[in-house]
Amino acid sequence: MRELALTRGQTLAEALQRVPGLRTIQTGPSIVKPVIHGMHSNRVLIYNAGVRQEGQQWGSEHAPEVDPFVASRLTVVKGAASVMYGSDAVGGVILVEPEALDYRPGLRGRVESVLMSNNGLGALSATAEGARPQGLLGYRVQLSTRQAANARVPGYYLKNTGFQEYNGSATVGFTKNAFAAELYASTFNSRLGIFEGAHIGNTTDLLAAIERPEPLVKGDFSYAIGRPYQLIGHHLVRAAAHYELPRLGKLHLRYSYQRNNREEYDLVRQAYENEYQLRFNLTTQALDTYLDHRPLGGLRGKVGVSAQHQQNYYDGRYLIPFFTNRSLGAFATERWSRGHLELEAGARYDARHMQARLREVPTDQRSPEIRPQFSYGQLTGTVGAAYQLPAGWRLSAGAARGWRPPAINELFSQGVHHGSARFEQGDRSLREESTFNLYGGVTKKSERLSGELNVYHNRLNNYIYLRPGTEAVLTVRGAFLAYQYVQVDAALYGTDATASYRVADWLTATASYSAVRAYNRETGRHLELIPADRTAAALRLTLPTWRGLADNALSLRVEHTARQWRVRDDQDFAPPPAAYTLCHLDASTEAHLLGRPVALSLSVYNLFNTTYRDYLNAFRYFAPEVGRNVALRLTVPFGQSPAASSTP
Amino acid sequence: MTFAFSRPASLLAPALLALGLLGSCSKDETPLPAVRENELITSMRLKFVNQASTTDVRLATCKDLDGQGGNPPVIDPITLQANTVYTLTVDAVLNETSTTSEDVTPEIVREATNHLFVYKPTGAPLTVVVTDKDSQGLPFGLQARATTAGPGSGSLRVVLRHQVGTKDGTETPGSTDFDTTFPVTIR
Repeated sequence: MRELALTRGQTLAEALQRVPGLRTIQTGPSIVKPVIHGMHSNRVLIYNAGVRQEGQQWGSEHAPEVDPFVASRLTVVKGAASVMYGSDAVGGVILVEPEALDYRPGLRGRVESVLMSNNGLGALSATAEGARPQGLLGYRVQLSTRQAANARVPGYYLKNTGFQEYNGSATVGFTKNAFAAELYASTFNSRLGIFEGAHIGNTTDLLAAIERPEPLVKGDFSYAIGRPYQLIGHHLVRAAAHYELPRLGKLHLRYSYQRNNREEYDLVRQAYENEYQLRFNLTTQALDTYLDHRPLGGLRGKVGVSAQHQQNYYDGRYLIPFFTNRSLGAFATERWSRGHLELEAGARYDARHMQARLREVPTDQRSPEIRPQFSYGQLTGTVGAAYQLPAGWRLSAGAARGWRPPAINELFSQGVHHGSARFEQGDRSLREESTFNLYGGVTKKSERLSGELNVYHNRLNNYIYLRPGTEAVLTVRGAFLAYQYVQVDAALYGTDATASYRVADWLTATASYSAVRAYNRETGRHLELIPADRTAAALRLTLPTWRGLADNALSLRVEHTARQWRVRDDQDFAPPPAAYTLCHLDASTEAHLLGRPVALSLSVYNLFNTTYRDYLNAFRYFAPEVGRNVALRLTVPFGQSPAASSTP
Repeated sequence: MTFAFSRPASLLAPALLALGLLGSCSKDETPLPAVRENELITSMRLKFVNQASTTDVRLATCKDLDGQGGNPPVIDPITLQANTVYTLTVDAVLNETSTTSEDVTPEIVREATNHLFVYKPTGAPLTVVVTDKDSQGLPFGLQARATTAGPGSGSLRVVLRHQVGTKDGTETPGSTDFDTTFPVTIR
């Protein structure tokens, strides 16, 4: 997992950017969310350590509450297999998987440290694991922290963009014969500064900020975090067990409890020291069971059921109501192969019942309490086929039908969105969104050439999106544009392509391209906030062992992101930013210190300190993206059998 | 109230409830939190006192009781005498809900070094000059002098800027706490 090692210290979404078709949506330099094929937030599921991550993921400025140091593997799931994870994975599923417990006796571990030049980031993660001599009981403890000061764009610092993160996890496992059980607990705690220059009052303020070439207030190199900021805690406990049933297969059972607490501190007049303006508290419990059955006449697969209960509270300013969510799902996914042909199919049924509690007019104290209820239930299905051709070629194609119930914010949000001068209005009459996805691809694997080309066409009916307003809502604070959640029929399609060619034993050249198109099928206009086309090329050199330095590699990446010119000027406050080209450099080696392999790497992001803005950053109106960043990473293993523990 | 039912789900919904899924037995009766709109200003009143005749007082209010969104604010027109000098005061800044009314003026005064009232007459023969200062010697604007010339009409835009740690006497830094335009007639 060398690729993952080179992302340590970055956020989950940044680490995922190396996967073809994955991009990010940002709110300033520290709040980053993954985008799969143009979709994000409510349409992307994240499974953290086998549990469906339930935070307030509807918000584009609510980053996933996941510690990337936990991951030994990051996987993006599309196609039939995604049926196992839930219906609303319209965009896809991201699996953040910790290393499997190691039941070999002894105590071992590693310390990973990262330093970054741009924002003075320091990250440290320590993992210790071991097992009892009999090998029945295994355990792992992991602690990590990330601390950063203000981010620097070419020329100046962005005030109040530092963050602090403290995370930890512990696992205990027991295994004997056909039975295995595991208890996992993790905690994620983060304080995230929000760029002060993005704190604006109304549309006039926003337009004035857009006009300014640079923010009025600049920061300096400081770790201090002031208002506005977010304070987030996410705590998870998961108990899982599996048992090998004779003749039937492996039966898995999993229960999880997670609690998400999000507090938002605005820059306001009545800013008393520790008082938040808005707090959400979401508790989710889930019970899943599935059977990984023995091959049945050539069929391999899984069948299972899952149930979930969720309760949300808020305090302070109204944005979304109290709600209780109950859902129940059942799925089956099967795979069959003979000779060169492989077929797969999956089906899933989900039912969800939601009750909200709110005042009829949320901003009026005397308004009566109402409890609207919503029930949804639909079928998800996928079919796929793959055919293996000679010389390492492989063809694949599939179709999937999916759906997603409207999310709480889409139904109920009502209020001013800070930093964007917009008044967001939900709609309680929204219906389920449904998707029909066709995809196909070619992959090639051979000694010298490897690569893949994928295309997809996603037809969405009742696609829910926040339509930018053109009419102003007049308030005593001035004018705000009214943004409304609406449903349209849309089509999202695109391609991801990547090819690698081994020019010589020591040199590999890689090129990749990804593009998404998203149209409102009713008006023919392109949708807002869709990533622009990206083309990348990389050269990777592997160098011979030199003076005890092994595994030497050097790679240079050039990345060109086009301008999103498909969005018309009247669809935004400012025209989409210009195209940009960035260069990144990675160098890694492994040295032997006191008989232990110590991994060392140096990365330089934005090598030429290019000034650019990205269309998918909500703060593109106020400031450019961060400048050059040099990252130094060091991983030191300790304890018994270090060689084994350094390779996940 | 809105209900969105799709057929198969409506059959399943009672079954779901009956299942008493995972912890649903705990009664959820946490009361809804009190309505809190942070630093919302619902009303602002301007008072013009004729410096030549202090019994000549003119008031104009901008009121938006349902807060941001909903109904637009109700704004009184300002009528002033021609060729007159008035003392202009922002005499009430209120945060009203249907049940309470809180005067936030003292708070703004206490945080005068973080606030600035800006007056922008357009069209009307009217000039407004801020006369008060905060403790740092920078203009504040709760008090001003409004001078009218010959008859005419136009508007007066009043903006309250919130400038935490960035106040420099100009309108530019910070964010807007309120921004209202009153119609003005001078006769």
